[in-house]
Amino acid sequence: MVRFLTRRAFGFLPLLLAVATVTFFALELTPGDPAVLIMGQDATPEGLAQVRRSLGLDRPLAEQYVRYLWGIVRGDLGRSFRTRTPVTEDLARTFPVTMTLAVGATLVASLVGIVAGTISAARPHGALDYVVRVGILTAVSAPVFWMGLVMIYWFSIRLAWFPVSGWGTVRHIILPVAALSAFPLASIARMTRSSVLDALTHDYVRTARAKGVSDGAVLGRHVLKNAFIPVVTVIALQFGILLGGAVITETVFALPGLGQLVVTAVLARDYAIIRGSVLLVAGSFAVINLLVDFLYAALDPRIRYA
Amino acid sequence: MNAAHALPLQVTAVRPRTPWQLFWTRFRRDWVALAGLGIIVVILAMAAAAPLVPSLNPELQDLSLRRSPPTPAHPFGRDHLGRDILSRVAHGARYTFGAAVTATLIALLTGVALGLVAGYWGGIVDDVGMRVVEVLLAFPYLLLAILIVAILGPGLGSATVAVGITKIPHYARVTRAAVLSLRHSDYVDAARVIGATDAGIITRHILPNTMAPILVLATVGLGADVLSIAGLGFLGLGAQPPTAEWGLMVSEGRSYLFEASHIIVFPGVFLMLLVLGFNLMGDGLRDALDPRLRRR
Repeated sequence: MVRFLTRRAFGFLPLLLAVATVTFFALELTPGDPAVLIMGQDATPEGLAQVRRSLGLDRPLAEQYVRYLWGIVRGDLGRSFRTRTPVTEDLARTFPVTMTLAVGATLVASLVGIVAGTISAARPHGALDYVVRVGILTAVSAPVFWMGLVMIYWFSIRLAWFPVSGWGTVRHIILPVAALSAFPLASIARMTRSSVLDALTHDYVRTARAKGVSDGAVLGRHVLKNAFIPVVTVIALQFGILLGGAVITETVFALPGLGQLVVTAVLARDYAIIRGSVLLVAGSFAVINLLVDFLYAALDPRIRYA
Repeated sequence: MNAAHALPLQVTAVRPRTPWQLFWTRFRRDWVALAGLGIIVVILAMAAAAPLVPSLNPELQDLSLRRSPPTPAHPFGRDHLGRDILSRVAHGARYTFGAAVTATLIALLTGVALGLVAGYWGGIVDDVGMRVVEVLLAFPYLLLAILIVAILGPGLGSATVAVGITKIPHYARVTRAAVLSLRHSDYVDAARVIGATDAGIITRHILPNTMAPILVLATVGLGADVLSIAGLGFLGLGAQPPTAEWGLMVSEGRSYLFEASHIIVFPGVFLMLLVLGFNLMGDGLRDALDPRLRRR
């Protein structure tokens, strides 16, 4: 297992390199000259040349690429084309917001999802099971931006329980986290339900029941432990997706997160910002996936890695 | 004269049921899945009928009736430019359907081709193909879609292509796994022995057997693509005004949430219904096509 984990950890670096390379060359392919975007259509040729020089765009592509990679190693992602601030500063300002949302939504989704899925599986085709399943279907079908707006309408405008937008206090976080957690919650509940149902068919459950263990104890002591591994995988997967998916929720609630940064950057063709944010999120995504593999190996002694 | 002539035997060949018939007998008993199909058909009919009804004009503005609430003549009300929301929702179904189907086709055709080639020939082709898939999967999908939109420039077409590309890995992986399990099966070996070509084996023996999981993936995927394309529209990276795209309509209406909440209600409800339809039907397809994976 140690060998598997070491190999997995080394496979991580080429993946990051691939991600960096894709983001670099992908944006290199785009039509349009960043210098024109910065200076405007009626800029003088001298002005454009100066901007290109200051951004390093007059260098050969290979040199720009190597400089870019070397910059990543040193923690320098260049400067925003538009505001001239270092990209790392913008990321440091916005990433915590996105991370808070993603972590909060993952926690809520895991807790509620596991409980709902277990309740649902405990009495298949019972009334609670149907409630949970309809809830799951609704949550995976509703667009998150629309659900967020409906929540703002009811809880912020009509009932005035929460602020409409903004960031800073716990009350600002509750609605965005609720909206963002709906989809992962449904996925986790669905996986828990099928995993628990599957575990319930095993012989050890029959043995436990035969010797008189109560339903609750069977679930708590035997079934959940065995049903947990696929659920952990789904949770981790959803967490990674949320880092990217929070973009939409942040826009709905006007939160100063990575999402707003990226969307503004795409509309303004601020490639330095786009590259930096994509790299940061994809990098975090890769780290999460790596940790899941480790967790997986630690949780399930049956898994043998050659 | 023997008995057989006196008593002619009625021999009717019992034709084995085709896979399609087997599928249909199972599928039509699943009323939840049929309800999903029903939702899709109704919205599809709405999309088809919208341009045939001249009174449904999605772009006709009446600024004196800006944000007017639902009335019997305009049951969904009017938006911030006084446009009839019913007309816009009906026409919006065309964009949503068109974009989601196109995105799914892009992903399906590319992904299945990649998976077939990688799984069938293996070796270096497989290695390269799967590395590409791994890199695509290294990005959270919405972020990858945004990166592609950044390259192509915002618009409904770009959003469609972007969403299509992000889904390629799913189809490639499912197809490859199916091909790997079939490549050394007896009937593929038998076909090879009697001299079938690679192309013949792939199209006649391997492809039909990979269709069931692909079909399920595509149906559920259509729902997810509807959400992604609407999401990009909401962010301003997809369809551009004055297109009557549902995600964009919600985005345009959000500034008037306080005084005219009806503007966002209907595009959102229709988005949800359509996605629900694809999800219900996808679950039903999975049950009908693969009884071993029966939903409990």
